[in-house]
Amino acid sequence: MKITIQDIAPGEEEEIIVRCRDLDEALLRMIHELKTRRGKFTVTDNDKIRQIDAGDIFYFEAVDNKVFLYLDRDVYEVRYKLYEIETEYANTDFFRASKSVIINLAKVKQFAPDFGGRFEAQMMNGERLMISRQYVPALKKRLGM
Amino acid sequence: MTESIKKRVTELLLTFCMVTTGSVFVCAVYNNIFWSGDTFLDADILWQLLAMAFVCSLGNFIHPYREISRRRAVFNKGLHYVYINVVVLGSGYGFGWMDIENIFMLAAMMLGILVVFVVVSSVIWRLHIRESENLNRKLKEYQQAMGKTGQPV
Repeated sequence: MKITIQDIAPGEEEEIIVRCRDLDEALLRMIHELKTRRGKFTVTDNDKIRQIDAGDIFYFEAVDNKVFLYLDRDVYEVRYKLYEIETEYANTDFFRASKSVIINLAKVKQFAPDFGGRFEAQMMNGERLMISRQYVPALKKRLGM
Repeated sequence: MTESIKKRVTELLLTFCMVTTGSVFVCAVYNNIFWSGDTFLDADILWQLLAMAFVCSLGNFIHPYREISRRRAVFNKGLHYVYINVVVLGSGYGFGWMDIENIFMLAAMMLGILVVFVVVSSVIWRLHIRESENLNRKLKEYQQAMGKTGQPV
């Protein structure tokens, strides 16, 4: 596979273009890697520094001006604001579901209707998160509806 | 027009259509029971029903688009029901559809409100379920397209 790297002007958005005949499994996996492993989050775990793959994160939640990162079972505090994560991971699987939560769409098991026009995201680890009514149109757009 | 405004207008129109249908149905039953002696209805009642249905539909705005707690959403649903009762009973009194001193008329009107409210809420809930089914279908497609199995790659 030929790889071409081009210089771009300052301020221009970085872009990866995939030119292929068929989107095979390997290519899809590579695109997935690019989208979900764009970054790692550094967290402290009992005075040890740990790197968390973005693809392993289930969701982020802001509570009392602190932002927490939730894995399958573990929870860590991160030194980012929710809007910073939302901006940085805008074109990935992360989706702003409410004022205080960003979910990883790759970790959503299913959506269920909830009271007052809202939806509930049932995560693969069994947790349930609310998707605010105002973010539903964005969710539909993200999923291609 | 933003997506949220479009959605609100669509919901308003849908509610208006359902409330109008329900009101005509309740009006027909109500007339057969309480005003069966009247051969002709005043044509104004059609405009009155449409106006009442529209004002009832405006009750949708009790449910804000901004984020609220589940408790608040339940409270708003109750408030919405009270609002509809006030509008319909107020219209019934104002337009002379019922004799306020006739307890049976009042009870029948309140029963009619309850039936229409439950039917409209059920239809909206069904649509909401269908919407979530579509979301789930799209989610599966999205996850399959990207080779996501829920397990870390």
